[in-house]
Amino acid sequence: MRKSEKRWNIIAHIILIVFSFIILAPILWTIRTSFATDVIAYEIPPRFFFKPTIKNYINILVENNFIRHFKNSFVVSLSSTLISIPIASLAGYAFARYNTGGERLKFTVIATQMLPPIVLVIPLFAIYMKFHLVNTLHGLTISYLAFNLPFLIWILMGFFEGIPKELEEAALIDGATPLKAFLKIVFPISAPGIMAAAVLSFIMCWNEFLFALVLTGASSATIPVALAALQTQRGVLIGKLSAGVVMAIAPIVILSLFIQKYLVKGLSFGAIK
Amino acid sequence: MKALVVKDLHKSFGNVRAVVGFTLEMEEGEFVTLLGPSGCGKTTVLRTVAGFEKADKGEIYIFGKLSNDIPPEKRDVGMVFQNYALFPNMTVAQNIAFSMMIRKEPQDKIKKRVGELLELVQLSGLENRYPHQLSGGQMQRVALARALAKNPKILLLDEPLSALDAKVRQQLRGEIRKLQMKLGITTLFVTHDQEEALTMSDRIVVMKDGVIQQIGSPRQIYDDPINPFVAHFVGTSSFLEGEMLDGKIFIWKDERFEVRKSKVKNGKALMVLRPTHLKMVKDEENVPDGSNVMKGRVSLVTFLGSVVRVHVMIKEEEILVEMPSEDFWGFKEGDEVIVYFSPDFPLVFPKEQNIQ
Ligand SMILES: Nc1ncnc2c1ncn2[C@@H]1O[C@H](COP(=O)(O)OP(=O)(O)O)[C@@H](O)[C@H]1O
Ligand SMILES: [Mg+2]
Repeated sequence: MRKSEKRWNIIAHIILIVFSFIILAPILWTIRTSFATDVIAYEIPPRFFFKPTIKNYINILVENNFIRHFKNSFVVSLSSTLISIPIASLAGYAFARYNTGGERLKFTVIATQMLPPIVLVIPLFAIYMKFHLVNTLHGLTISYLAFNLPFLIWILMGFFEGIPKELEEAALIDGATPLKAFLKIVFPISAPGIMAAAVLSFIMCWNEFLFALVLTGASSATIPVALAALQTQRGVLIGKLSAGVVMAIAPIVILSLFIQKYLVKGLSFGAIK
Repeated sequence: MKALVVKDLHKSFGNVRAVVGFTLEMEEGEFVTLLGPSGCGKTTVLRTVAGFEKADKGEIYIFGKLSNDIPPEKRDVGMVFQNYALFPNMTVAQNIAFSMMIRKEPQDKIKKRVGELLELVQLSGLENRYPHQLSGGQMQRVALARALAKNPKILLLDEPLSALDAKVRQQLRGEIRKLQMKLGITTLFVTHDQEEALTMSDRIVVMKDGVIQQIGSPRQIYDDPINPFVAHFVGTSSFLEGEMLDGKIFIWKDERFEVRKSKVKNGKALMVLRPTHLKMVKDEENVPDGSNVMKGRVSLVTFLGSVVRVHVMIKEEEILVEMPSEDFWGFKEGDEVIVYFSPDFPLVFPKEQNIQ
């Protein structure tokens, strides 16, 4: 490596480190605060070293009913994902292979994503009142399904389009029925992509705030709504809030590691074509 | 019984007429090649025989059985795709075993057959590799073994060699043909490479714009092309535009040539001269009696290995002459030469028939 290149490398890394720190600092600070007592949390100038406590975690789980909110988030995100992925896979596959509905239907599917959600949330609330779906987990799940499906169909369609149809034809000519060809060839090849879409779906549901805020009540609130509620009239309960945030992002961090692994695996099948 | 009969096949995509009135009968064990430029409908014919496309009109009989409405998985054909289409999630052995696995044959039988097939395509020892760990030639061999695994009655090959480099292509060409003869399997082969078609086939079907131009043995196609397109597409030729007189004399510029094979009696015509039909000398004394003679100047000499190709400028047209390397006398660029040919050789077509 030449000298100037080496110097560039160092400068680039310094810049990257600075920006990484800017992005990570609030999260690191939140983690630090989640282990602090309220006294230490509000102390100015802030203290960097102290004896950590897990009291915030216990308090938020017990006093603020976060066990329940966690459960709500899990139930809604998981059921929405489990229902949407098979539907989106088959729909995306049909779009990709059989051009079902033509270009127009493909466009219509993605067009639904162009409406700002805020436009829809009030009418949806009115409809949900009529059907007694407000403040229910299945009600929230249905709304997530409706909004995530088009997006998932779209990305899975792209994924299936990347699989040459000759692969399926080779399976057919070798005696497999279309269903067998799908299960033995298309599905294993696209499993990483489907997995990635599933993780994405889960994360979208997990993080969703607007619909959850309007459509849920105390018993059905999901984590984002419950976290927002920690901003009380008596001020922000910063220790508890930090603990809640850390717990809320933990599953996402774990899933992100997953998605990375699957995306890499998906790419290594790139020798298909 | 005919192995394959395709009768008056028509297929359009939107307003693209991909195949128009295609008719072909194949004997059992025959190797037939569909030859034509890209987009002339070769793949469409093959895919219709395989059952991936539905004919707009016409019938397909496989060993006497009308097969139009039989889905691909029930037709007794094997196919090798241009892009290999190996299953990337399976090893070589699993790829080859796929059809047997689908039929739920016993494990030991599958294993034995996979071993035989690997040996047949000379890939023994690679059974546990994945497709992305193979070279192009190896992938194509696996594809061939996979297509043969179910003992199909008809083998379909869609430009199986076009993605390979020249050396491997030539080698596989011979191997596929030998294998085909050894197994006696009826084979329909698609290519746009005339050399491939000429070297491998029992018969060649030359196509253009979805229409069959000519069906014949490689010799017939080469020696007796039915129209200028076939002459142009198969083998190298020089074309002279002129006029026919009484079906015997071809007038080109101020030359008059005697010809014996003309499809035109009088009027504008196109003469096809194969480079191998032309001879070249320095002195007129050496020209046999009764030959047609032209004078010209050598503009380029190219050495092609076993033959030498000489470009000769005659009356502002470039005409190609080929001779075996051992008969080459050392003509040089700029030499004045005499080119002659027997009246038996050239073919004359009506001018309206285009070479494109
Ligand atoms: N699925 C398809 N949709 C639309 N047009 C097609 C399709 N398949 C083939 N064609 C058209 O039909 C013609 C013949 O194609 P093809 O059989 O693939 O030719 P070849 O194999 O000789 O190159 C081409 O013009 C091609 O563009
Ligand atoms: Mg083709």
